Amino acid sequence: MEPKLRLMIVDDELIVRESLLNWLRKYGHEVDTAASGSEALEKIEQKPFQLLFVDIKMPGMDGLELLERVKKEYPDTLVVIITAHGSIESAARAMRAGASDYLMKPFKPDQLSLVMERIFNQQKITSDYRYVKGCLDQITRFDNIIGQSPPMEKLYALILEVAQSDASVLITGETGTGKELVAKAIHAKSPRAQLPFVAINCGALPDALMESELFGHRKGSFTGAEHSRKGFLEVVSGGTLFLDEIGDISAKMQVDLLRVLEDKTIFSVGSKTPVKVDFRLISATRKDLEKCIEEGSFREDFFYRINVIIIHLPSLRERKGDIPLLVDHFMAKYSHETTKHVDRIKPDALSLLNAYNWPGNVRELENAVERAVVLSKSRTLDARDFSFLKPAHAAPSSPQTLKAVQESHILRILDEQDWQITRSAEILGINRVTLHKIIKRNNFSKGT
Amino acid sequence: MKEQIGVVPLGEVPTLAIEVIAANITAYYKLPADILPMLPIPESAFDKARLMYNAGILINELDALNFDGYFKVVGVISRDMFIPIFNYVYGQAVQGGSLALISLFRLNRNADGSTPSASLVFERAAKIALHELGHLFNLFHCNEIKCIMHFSGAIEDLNKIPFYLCRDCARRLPR
Repeated sequence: MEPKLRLMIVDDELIVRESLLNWLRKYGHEVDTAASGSEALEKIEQKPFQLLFVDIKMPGMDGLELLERVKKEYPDTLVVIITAHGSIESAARAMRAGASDYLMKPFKPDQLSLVMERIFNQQKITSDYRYVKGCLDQITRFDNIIGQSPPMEKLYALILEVAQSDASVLITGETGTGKELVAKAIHAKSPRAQLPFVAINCGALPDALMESELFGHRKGSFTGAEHSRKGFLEVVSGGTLFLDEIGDISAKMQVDLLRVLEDKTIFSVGSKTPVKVDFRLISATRKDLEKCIEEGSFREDFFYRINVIIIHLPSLRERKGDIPLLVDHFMAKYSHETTKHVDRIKPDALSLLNAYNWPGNVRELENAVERAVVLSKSRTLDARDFSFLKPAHAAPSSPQTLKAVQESHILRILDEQDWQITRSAEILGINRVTLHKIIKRNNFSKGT
Repeated sequence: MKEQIGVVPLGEVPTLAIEVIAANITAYYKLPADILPMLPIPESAFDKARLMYNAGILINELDALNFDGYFKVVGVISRDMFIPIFNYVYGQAVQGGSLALISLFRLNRNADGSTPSASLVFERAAKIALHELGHLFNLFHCNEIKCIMHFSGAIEDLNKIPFYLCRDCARRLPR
């Protein structure tokens, strides 16, 4: 079965548009029409077409001009020129300008069939090329981690190296840099790859629940424990345990985990029978754990246990060269998910994305592209589609008081953290109550 | 499908050709086909520059007539037909529509200029009618050479295709 194409007939004569439309629909193709070059460009801007039949002689923008613009802006779109008898010179010009073929009207039905056959062959070559390109794209990706900047190249090499050992790994990096993806990549490349990968977000679980989740519990060991349940440390058996936000776990849990790491034995809650466990530990944190040790909130012995190998992930600010690659990937992902055809981005939008600070890193970029794709009314994203991104704070033009600098810094951190008080207070190095007081005293609010 | 198909001659058309077409529709689509009284050729469809009949206009003119009791109608004409982009057409139908038209004009000659037997001409006419009727049943052109929905741009291609639908197209036929 020949593939079905999305085609457009561009001709100022209604009768030609209708008869060709009727004919091409008999092949099951999705066919659209446009009465002028500008109408055709508007439609291509909305959704991609694989093939255009373009009449060379049209008022306003003629077929040759349309061909040139299409070939410049949408090089993947094939164009067949339709020309009146006797204008062979313009047909030759069209072929030089990138037309795939031409038809001199009126033509025999089998001439059109022949042209379509040639188009299918060209399409096949294009799709083969895309397949090869897809294979090359894989080279710029490493287990779903995208980037080809020098810091990422170093990271890929480190992942491969680390994966072969069984030592505990601590992954550090700002929020949204892809710590879990790196953990998964290490697991996937390790000898434990066929065994489970279990991820737990320590920041999201209260202490008691975390204990039960990790160690399991016996029936009746606490109120509500109606059945015995194995903990993740047992379930992960032979695989990799990923503890995200390990800087958020309590002192007691640090002691419990330290014991497990040393003895490789656990006791489920309410049980006195030891169970042997075997897993590789990968932890991650956005916190400065050495500072936490100094402050007394993190145990030094536990830190050295989980930190045999440390991998620091670069922030998106440190690898802005990867932004176009990431944008392409997220556009394709969300175009597929939303079944919208958004596959292009204008240079002004890319400059805006490059200028932005990305406090939320790749995750923030992904969310921004998703939002832009969902709301976009055309197939090309431009700067307006990213107008919701606040530009990086510029240096003030006039000298400022210390108080003004302090206030604008607090506001910036609050905005960057989406007004999450705990996280903002942590970054500012003050406690939550103080931050609340500052917000109240200065009448700060979201959007100030 | 229990509906009736109408086969209507436009102007003078050999009766035997009409009978062969109706018989083949019944044989291959398992539908009763009635031969309707001859209708005059709408002269508004005649193109003085090309000295041919515009198939689109002919279909529009037929569409204005009342074919009560027939859910699909196949018109048969002995004159040469075209649509604006093509030099000629053997047949014309609107995809999923109710009216199709076939022309016998170019079936009376072989590719090498020789004259075919009358039975071969009728065979070709029946194949075009079955093909255009397929479009009325919303079947698309088929890649399978052993299928009546395979597109035949030249007379020798028409000789090669069978009368029947391939298995895929037969499955797509509305029941």
